[in-house]
Amino acid sequence: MKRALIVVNQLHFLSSRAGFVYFARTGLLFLALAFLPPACLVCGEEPYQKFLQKLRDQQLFSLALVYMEELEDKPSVSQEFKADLQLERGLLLYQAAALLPPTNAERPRKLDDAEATLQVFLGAQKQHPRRGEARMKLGELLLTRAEEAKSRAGAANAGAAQEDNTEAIKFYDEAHQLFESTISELAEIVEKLKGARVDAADTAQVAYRQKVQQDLRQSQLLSAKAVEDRGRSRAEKNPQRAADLQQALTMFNDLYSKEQRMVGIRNYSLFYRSAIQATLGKLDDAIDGFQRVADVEGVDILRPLQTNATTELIKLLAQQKKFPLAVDRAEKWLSTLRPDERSSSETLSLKLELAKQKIAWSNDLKTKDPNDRVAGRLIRDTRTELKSLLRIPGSHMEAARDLLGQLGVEDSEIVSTELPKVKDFGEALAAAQERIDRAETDAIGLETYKLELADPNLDDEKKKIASEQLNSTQQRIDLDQQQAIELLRTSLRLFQISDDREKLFDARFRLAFLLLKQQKPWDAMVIGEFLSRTSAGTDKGLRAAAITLGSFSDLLRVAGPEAKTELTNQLQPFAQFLLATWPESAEAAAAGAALVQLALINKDFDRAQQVLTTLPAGGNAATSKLRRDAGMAFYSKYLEEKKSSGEDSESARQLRGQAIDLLQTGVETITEETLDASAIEAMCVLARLLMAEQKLAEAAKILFEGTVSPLKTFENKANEIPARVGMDFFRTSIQLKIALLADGKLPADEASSQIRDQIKRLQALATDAESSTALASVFVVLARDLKEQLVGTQDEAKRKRIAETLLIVTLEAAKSESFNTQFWAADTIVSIAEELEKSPAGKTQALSAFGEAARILDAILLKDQSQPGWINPPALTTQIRLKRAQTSRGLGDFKEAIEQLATILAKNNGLLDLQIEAARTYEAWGAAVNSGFYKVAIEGGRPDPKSKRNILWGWGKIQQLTANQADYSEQFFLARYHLAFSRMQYAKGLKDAKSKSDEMQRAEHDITSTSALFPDLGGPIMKKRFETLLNTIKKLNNP
Amino acid sequence: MHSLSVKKSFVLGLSQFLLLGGAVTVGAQDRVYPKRDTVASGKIAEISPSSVRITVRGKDQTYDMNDVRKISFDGEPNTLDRARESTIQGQYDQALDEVKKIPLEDAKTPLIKQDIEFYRYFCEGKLGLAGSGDKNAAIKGLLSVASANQKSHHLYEISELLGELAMAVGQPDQAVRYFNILLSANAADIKSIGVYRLGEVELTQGKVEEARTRFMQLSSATSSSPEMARLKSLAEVGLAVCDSLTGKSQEALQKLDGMVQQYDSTDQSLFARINNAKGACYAALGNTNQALLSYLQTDLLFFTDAEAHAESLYHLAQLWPKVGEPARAAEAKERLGTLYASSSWANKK
Repeated sequence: MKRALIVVNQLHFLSSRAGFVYFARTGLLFLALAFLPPACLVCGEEPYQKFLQKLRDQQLFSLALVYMEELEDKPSVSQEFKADLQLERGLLLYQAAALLPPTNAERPRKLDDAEATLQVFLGAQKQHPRRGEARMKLGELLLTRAEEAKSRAGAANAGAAQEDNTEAIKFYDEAHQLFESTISELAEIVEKLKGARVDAADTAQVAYRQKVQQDLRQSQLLSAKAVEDRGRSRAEKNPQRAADLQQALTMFNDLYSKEQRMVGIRNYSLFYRSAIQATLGKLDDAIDGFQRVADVEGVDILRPLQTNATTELIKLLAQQKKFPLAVDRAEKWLSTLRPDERSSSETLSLKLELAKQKIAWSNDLKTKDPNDRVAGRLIRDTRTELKSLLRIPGSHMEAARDLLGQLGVEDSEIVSTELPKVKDFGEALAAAQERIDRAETDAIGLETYKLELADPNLDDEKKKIASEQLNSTQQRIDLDQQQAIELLRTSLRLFQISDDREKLFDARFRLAFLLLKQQKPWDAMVIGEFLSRTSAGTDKGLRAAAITLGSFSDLLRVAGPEAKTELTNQLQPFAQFLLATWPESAEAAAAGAALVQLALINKDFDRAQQVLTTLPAGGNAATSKLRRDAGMAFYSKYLEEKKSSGEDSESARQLRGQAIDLLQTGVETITEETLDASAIEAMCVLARLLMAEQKLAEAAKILFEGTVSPLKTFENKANEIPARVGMDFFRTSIQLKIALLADGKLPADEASSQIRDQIKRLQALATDAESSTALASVFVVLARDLKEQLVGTQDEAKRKRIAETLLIVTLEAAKSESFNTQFWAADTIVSIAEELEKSPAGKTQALSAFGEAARILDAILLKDQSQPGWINPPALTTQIRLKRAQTSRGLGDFKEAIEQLATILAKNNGLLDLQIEAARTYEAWGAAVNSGFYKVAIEGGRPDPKSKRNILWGWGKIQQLTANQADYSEQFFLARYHLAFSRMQYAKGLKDAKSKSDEMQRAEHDITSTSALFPDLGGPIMKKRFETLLNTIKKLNNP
Repeated sequence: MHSLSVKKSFVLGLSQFLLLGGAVTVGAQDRVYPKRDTVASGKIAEISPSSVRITVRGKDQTYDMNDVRKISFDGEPNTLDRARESTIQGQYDQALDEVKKIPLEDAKTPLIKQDIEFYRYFCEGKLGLAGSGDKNAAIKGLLSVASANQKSHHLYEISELLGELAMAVGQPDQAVRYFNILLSANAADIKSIGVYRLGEVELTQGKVEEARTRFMQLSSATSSSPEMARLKSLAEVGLAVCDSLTGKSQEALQKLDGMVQQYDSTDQSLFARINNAKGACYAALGNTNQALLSYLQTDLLFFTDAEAHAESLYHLAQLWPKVGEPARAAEAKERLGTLYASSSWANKK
């Protein structure tokens, strides 16, 4: 095997990702001989070697590992190469791991494999010439792990840590031990190769000796660095920290003193020694060291280190208030920068530090003289420098923005309104970029003006100035953006095949972005879509897709119905493209969501469903949310269908099933972090739907079980959940408890206790007027829900169980001082009683319930008299009187019921609910006492003394007034039904056969005429009732 | 795949070309440049698809067209020979630039006119195959040259290129028509190219057994010329592909691995085809990683043959998502679209 060893004193910086992360954080540049990559991979002529290197170049390390396995058995592969396979595998495994982000679960496993493989190599190959390389890589691996441990603990910076980072300490310690053993091993080899023991003419041996010597020094340096970092990972107060730093200081000092030839090793030692001295407060020594590193001349490879040394130097000089000297040192160094160094991370750090120190200097000067001219100049210069720093992308930008924010803003120079003349693509792009940069920098100023203007203490004069500055800045931004658009368009015209295609993408991307900013969404959309489609699957393509979606969003916001349809048709294929190309991206989810929402707005459920099927299964938080939203939309649709066609209709069942499917997949991925208000609402709806399917255990699981449940959320962070959502949860929860009770899954005493507890918690959510109103509505809905539950329960035993438990709970709840709770209790009891009275078995229970409800309602009305405003909202007074009338009816006191209703309706006879109740009461009166009241139920009663018109309308007028009014169609069909029903009942009571028959025919006509005009008769449920009634009438009329 | 007779010259460098080109265009004679002999200057007496007869100082010399490197004509524009030479060197875009500058009215004889038009559309066609030229314009132009010059000395070059272009625009039946013309040539090498090309067409048409017969015919041929040896090795790859397509991927892989050991990897085109064939075998066996590695060999090592490189990029774009690398798939697709925009692979669904 050929090995190319390059002369010492050249330094090579490893650039693997992990190495980079570690060394970028610590400032330690990994030193290694600049020997070429392993010779076996590049020097041979065989394609497998070249190919392996190509795979490495392409960062296809996992595939390279597969390829290497294949090579093991090939006879054409050289023995030299085969001897290196274990090491190569270790290196590849490490590189494959390093490629993964620290958050990837695969990474630790791959690092373990790499470590184990390198260890096996070192254990088996005691004499292998590349042992040093293996050890170095192993050391790098350990240091990387230590650094990652520090990052995880959030103590990456060498600040004053409060606690030891034991994990990092362990890895640094292991790295130190490894380097120390390497040092021992290499020292032995060096001993054997000393001086005359190697023939000066044997160039290979001489080169090998140099390589080993270099490895030895490098190991010593890294060993010391590991000790230093081990110390820095310890708590500030841990005495071992100072001991480690002291040990490292000694090690660096020794190395610096001993090593005279290797300029890299020597200067890195000096740099790190100085850094420790600075930490230990030996500022003068540290300054001296950094200065010496910075002053080395003519060693190119040291320049990044020298930039760092200058940064550290000016920090320390500034600490000593030697600002002019600090600034001078930094500016001198910066003036010597080479083109390739201008954007390096070291340079950017230095520039940032210089800006900080200039600001500090300026502040120092201003404390002596607020109008100090030097201070003013420093601020102006720094502002310009920071703006130019912002034009270079990197992690420094945030700090630069902060500093710029501290400095405030200034009026920029007047921007020329004339477009520059550009000759080629590059010039046009550069000119456009200059304007984009300027606009972005100005935008920072814009924010500052806005903040300034928002300050209530700002006087009028300053407000006027800030306002003018804001306007002029906005104008400059607009002008710059418009010019940039023109220049970018010019650049596209000037593009030649010889120009860089990557930059062509940039030009188009920026153009699309600016067009969107300048509110030209159509133009932006066209370019954005083109770019995303031509760069499918790439990050840049996804960025372009974001612009396209932004454009769609802008357009949809202002589009009329027709344009919206057109845009939806346009968005459809693009969204599908996004879903197919970047299925996990937020952009694809957003596009899918937009399509689903648009389909739902248009009530195009099939299309919504179709789009949803294209979303990836499982998916991310965004797609889960989308499914939940769609599930909620299907739920609304289901409620409508249920109302018109009944719970058990095929259409309602289908919609319920679809809503359940969507919500189930939508809630599957909810985590503790993503369990927000909307997620809880979706879970409650899902639970209610599952209840409708009698899947009570599943519903209970959703609401109550595990850490990711609404119940747990209310236990842990109730304050973070809006009251409205909480009320919805408790409403659902109470329903579920009742259902479990009815099903015999929950004992009555437990159910009572739990429901009582939940009512209390529900009540506690009403803390202000708004939430009290909301609570009142929730209670009304809850009463209706519970009645529906009772209605839906056919088994008499179950019905009784539910009714009894509810009565116990509600009567107890009525003892509450809260109006809402009392009202809910009465409302619920009335509902239960009305349901109970329908069956002979429940009549006694119903009477008792009506009595209790009447008592509570009277108490409420009485309290409001003594404490006006207690009924809140006051509008509920009418409802209370209605309920009270219902209780009177239930108790058989029809006269009182009519009296109560008439009292209210005399003041406002347009209250439809009360008019219906009055007609019902007359019907009940007719059934109980005299069938003549059925006629009153039809024609109305209680004539107004003045107008002579009936205050109580009766079914006839109710149906007249609600006919052809979409909002009242439900009441219209109800009235038509009762019209026929009451007529039939009235006819039944007539003695005269002809009159009876005439009335019966009129009753029949009431139905047939309704059916002729409205064939669906208000939906399947009502239709069935009409048909049953019609049959009854026909039978009675034609016995 | 190298074209029939307009081949890259590994013998003449650019400097030699300039020297020779200068000498030729100054003189006022027709010239025949044999591949392995000295230049013959005189008056062309007869020219056909198969041979050229030139009268040199009153004496006729006849050359088989298959042995002729190029022919220049008395009175032709200076730039025509530069374009001709650039074409031989494979510098089609440069040649096209040159030939486009020549006004057709400058052509003093029908042969010169034919050459101007031939090189114009030949280069356009070659660039079209590589993804940057207008394939349809080339087809139209070459057909026009062929119909205006029924006995053109470029007939077989035109036919082969027309066949390739027909394949590139998805018209294999047309390709068969054009490649069949090669079978009518006297020269065994040209015939063999026809056989090979037809075998390739049949493979794409799914006529595996017909293709196998063609490739067998080549692999058992006795000719030992370098061109024929190369065709035989290409035919071996074709046979392996036939095996793979008939469910014998494992056997095909053994053959292909044997070829890797046997042949010189400096033959980029051959190795690109071997690796593409290996990729297809591995893909058929469900071994995605090995398939990727095979196509990557073409992409990273043997990428000079446009057709084979485009094929590898197409398959890489299909395979990368299977190992969770959609971005690399997109990158392969993008390169396919950028490098070979109008190739059949870039437009394959």
